[in-house]
Amino acid sequence: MGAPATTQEITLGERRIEAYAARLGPKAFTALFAGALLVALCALKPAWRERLEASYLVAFCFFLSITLGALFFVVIQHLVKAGWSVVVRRVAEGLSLNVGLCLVLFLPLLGMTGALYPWAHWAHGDHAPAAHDTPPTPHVGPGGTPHDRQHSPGVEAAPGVLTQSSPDGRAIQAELVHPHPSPSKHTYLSFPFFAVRLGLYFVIWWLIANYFWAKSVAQDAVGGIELTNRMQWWSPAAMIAFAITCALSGFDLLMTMDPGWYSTMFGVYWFAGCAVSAMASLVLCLFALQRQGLIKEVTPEHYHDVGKLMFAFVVFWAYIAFSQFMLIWYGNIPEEVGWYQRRVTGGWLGVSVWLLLGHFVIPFLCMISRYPKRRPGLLALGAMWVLFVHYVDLMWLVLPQPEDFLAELGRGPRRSPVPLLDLGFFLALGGLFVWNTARNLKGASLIPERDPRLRDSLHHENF
Amino acid sequence: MSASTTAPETAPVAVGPQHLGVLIEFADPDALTRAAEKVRDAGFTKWDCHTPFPVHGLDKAMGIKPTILPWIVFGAGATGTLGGLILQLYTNGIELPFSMLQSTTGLVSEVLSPFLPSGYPYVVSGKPVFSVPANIPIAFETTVLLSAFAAFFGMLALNGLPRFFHPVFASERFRRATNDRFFISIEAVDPKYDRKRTRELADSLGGTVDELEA
Repeated sequence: MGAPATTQEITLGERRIEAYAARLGPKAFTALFAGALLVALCALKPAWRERLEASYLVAFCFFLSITLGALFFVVIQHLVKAGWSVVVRRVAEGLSLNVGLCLVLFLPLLGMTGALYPWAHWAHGDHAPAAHDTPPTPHVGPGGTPHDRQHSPGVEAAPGVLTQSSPDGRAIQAELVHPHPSPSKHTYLSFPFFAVRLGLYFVIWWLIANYFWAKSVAQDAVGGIELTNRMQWWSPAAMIAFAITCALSGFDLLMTMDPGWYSTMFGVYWFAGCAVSAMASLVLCLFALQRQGLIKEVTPEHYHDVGKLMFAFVVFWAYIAFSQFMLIWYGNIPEEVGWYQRRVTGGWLGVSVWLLLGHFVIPFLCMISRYPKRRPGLLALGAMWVLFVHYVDLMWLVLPQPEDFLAELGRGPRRSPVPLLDLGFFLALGGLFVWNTARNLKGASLIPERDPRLRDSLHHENF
Repeated sequence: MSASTTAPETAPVAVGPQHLGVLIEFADPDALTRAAEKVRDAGFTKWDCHTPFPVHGLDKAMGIKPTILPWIVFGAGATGTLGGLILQLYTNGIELPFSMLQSTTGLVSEVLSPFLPSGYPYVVSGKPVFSVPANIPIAFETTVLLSAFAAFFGMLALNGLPRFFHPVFASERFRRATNDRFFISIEAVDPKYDRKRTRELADSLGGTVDELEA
């Protein structure tokens, strides 16, 4: 049942966000200012101010992950020549266009590297080559003191791994503030290279997002198959570039917070979070727009399919999270298990178990049936839950850092989530994000009105 | 199947070829869908549509109720998870029932132990003999295995397959159901089936009607 490209299925130029965006703007800015006020109030409390940067990184990564997931969604629709998704694609394109906002939000992070990344304190260039030949000498702190020497940031200390003996006798890796013995890590984990790398990722994302947006919007005016062919031609290259930069951004932003730790799975873990949060955001955007009487073309059939993808990526996240955990837990190598050790001790054990239930078991059981996927209200509820647990997942990734690094900064361990501070950042960045998404969608139709596969999408049905 | 295979003595009522139902042929899926709605509304149950490719909206036009297969698959999957965990608990996690029998009288142990093979707790990689993270991959695989079995064989069973004969095979024209024609078949075994009236309904559907006889 192919669709002739010339068939006019719908009236043109009726689906615009301008009126809704005008109403949404003040609300978004209220959220922004309320969030900023909340952050400012929280920062008055010294114990909370200590984790200001970490909370900001969580919020930044949350909205970056939605943007990247939406970019992935847009590109893969062209890659597989999907017909069903045409009526929801423009909204995803609008979400992916937030790359520019994310770049702006990233700039403050450049000033926060010292408080987030131990490698920012490594002295570069002047380390003695001979030092790298010596294997790391385990140094057991006497009597359980976290570390018995003063290490001032920027001063080259003898490369070494400080191993801390915990009361129950298990060795916990607690180095990482100190320069890593591997010279290649010194090259990679340096501030200039970090800034250039991230800048390059943003350029690539910006190019991909704008290319697919511009061609898609141009098609609204001219129609025809030509622009679709061009987007499809570019989609494999865009997908490869996205896959590499997305994985690397996960490594750079989150994994290097613990530069001694490594997991080759981590890039995929970050991608799983991107994809699941983007699907959830797409559901919420569609639901919000439909409540305004916009894009009536989106039917339960489309919700069903976006819901299926959301469900699939919830399961994918669990699969990846477990694969990463099990290999490290089974191998039980000190430099690897330290990362998980911090997350199964103290208050974080509860968060870990809660994540297993909240990010997998509960959504799995609640969304496995087609019943909730075909009911926009229920699906939107599920999407909100998924976004919430994704936020907690990012806190779980960011907050429990090596205690001796935090001690070097003169800070205590970040014990449990401080909801108020994180709520403040969520509101502030969320307000900006919603406002910018609406702004992105201005000036274009809310569905690709003359996409050659529009007919397939309008009559889409699930078997 | 030809008429010659039906022995007269086993089917005393049938004097000629046995009437099995009607087959209506359509040239396009839209005509088929419209006709299916009429057959559905007439209340037939032993009837079906045959198309060379999936036709959107046909399920609704035929009044097909949602299948219970997902629940069967879910039950089988949950059984697989539980079974996989119990299997590992039994084989590597505990020494039951052997150790339990040993604590009973020697005679019972002697008699029963060959029939109740014991698990063999074996420490691997310094992990507890029963430790859930290590057991998840096996539980996952048994879940997938039983789910796949339930989905595949459950689908066959719910469709009444395998089946070696269907009245539509009596028609030569039906071969085009795999190519470019769309068919509705109404079987004579349907309780609502009345040869004359069903034929009238078939004629009113706008397709080419074939009587199925074998």
